Amino acid sequence: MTDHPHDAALAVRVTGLRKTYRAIAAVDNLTMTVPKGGVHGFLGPNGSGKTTTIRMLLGLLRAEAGTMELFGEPVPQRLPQVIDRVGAIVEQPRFFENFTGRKNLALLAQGIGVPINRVGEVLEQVGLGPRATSAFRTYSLGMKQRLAVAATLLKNPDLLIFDEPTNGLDPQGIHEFRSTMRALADSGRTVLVSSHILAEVQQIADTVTIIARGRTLAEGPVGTLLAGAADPVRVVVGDAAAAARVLTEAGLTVQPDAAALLITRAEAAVHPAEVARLLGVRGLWVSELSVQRRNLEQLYLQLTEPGQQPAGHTLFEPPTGPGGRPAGPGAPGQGTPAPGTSGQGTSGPGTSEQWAPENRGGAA
Amino acid sequence: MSRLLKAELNRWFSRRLWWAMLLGAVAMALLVLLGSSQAYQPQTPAQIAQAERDYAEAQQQAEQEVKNCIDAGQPVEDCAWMPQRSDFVAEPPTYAMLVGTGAQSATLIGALAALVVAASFMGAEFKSGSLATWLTYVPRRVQVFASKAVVVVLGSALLSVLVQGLTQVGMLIYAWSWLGTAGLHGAGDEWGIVGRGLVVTAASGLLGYCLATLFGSTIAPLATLLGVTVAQWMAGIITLLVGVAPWLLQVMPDNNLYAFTNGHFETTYLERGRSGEEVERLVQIGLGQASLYLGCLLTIAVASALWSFTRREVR
Repeated sequence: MTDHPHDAALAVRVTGLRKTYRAIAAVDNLTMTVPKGGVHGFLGPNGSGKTTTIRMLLGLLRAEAGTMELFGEPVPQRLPQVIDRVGAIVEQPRFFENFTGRKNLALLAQGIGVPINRVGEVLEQVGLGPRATSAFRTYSLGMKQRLAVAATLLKNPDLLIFDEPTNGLDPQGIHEFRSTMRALADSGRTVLVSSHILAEVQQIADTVTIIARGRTLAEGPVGTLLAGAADPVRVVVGDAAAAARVLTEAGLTVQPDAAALLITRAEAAVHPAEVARLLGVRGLWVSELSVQRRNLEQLYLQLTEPGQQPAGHTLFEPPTGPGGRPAGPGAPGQGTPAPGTSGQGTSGPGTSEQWAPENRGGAA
Repeated sequence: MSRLLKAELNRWFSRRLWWAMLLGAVAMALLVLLGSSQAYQPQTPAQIAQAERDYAEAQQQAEQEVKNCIDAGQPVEDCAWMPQRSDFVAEPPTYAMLVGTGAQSATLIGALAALVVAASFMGAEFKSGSLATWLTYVPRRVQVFASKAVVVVLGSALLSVLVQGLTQVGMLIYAWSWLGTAGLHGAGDEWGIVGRGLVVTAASGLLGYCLATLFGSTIAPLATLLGVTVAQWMAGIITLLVGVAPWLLQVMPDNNLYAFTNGHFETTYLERGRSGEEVERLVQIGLGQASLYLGCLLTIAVASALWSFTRREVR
């Protein structure tokens, strides 16, 4: 990794990105902001536009509208200047089937001017040393993924982009890959990982961008996004109907959940002790009481519920500081729609500005 | 660019198809030499004496048959046929003949092999998807295209040198053993065929690479060339037999390729005259015209492939 004195504060910035295939918008006014350092989850269901976005970032596809930056450099215009700082795997690892793992990496190393002894190093690093001389076609899916990781490490990049890296991996492989990504981020790199398995990424991501149908639904630090709404309290009580009546009269919102009730309040969090007291004074004894911690999956489902605004959860703000520019109206991702856009995918009313690098759980 | 060239050269020479086609081309060249030995080996004095006797006998038989033919009331011109001496007593080969024949065969073998290797060189990148990986490392597409093209030309030229070299060494040995050192002269024009054969092979590789880039596969360019060949055969037959659109003979790739390789092409076709009689017309293609034609064709192929490669969306 190298220090670049004129680096932007962000590893990736995407604004108003659009791409259509035969009149169907694969990516529609998408906004994404990836701070430097840490793991950034790029989340959304299959077909939501994650791979298309990554391909546009890497110059493999042409964007129809919008701007993209890698380390402050506009891409694809200045992609050749910045590509040495980026290692990427797009979808499945793709190499020459009949060449060995070592040969495939040696060709890449030769093409980008990396010393050939680096090939052995990265192969050992990902645990492929013993199979380095086997043909790529004989590799298991997990080994192919590891070879792809080794390929991304050849350049010792500052930003690693992994597109659905755990597809097809067994649980052991998934665990190993998660550890690898975390370790890379902890060593100061930025890891952008796309996945449709939100719970999996939640375990390692410091920040996320959640998209659906090519549009940004939310983005920001994981903790901030999950704290965006109060966690419901789940209660099991013998006379559920009576309990629901009591809690509703107390101004709480009650939803049945199988044999239990989910208690929320619009304006503030519900405390479990409050629920226990309300029911206890009426002689309704609680047999189970717990706070339901929200996860990204629930957040996603909530964001995509009919009637929900499909955007407006941009919680990032490029940090200001010495040499940094203050965030203001018109800055991408700062609550003002890009010219010619509808404003979806950027912050709307209620936007929080809660993010700063030092607030994140991961290494900055 | 030099890094890309090294990497592409490394890949070219690491491919099994390259070595397979090289071995195949060498085997074909050896077959050509074997066939040439059978076809051009001079007759021994005993064989020539026997051939002279056979010729004399055939002449006598022919004279008798002509007489019978005329006696039967047939027009004299329909009966006037006689055997040719060259049908029985072969002219001894010249070194020029051997060089020319070897060069033509080696050009055909080399060009076909180069076309397949080069098309596969690019087609494999599309098939395996490794082009996407490559471009995420080296996004300068013009340089990527150029480095591959240079390697294709160099690899094809090397293939041509090996096949042409092997063929010419074989022909030299034949000429030396049949004609002696005194017979090793007079092949100046034919060495031109050798040189142009090298150009044709390199160009054939480049064309295969360009078509594979345009179509995004290995098979499509080969199928396209096969289709073009069949189409021009059909057009050629129609033109020669019916006399329709004789200008087609001037613009057929096959004829221009022949003219370029051999330095000249000519053929005749029959045209119906004003009074209904058939008139034989001559079509000629010179080296200059063929060079211009093939140069333009190759330039269009390269420009189209470059345009396609730099604009292609890689999935």
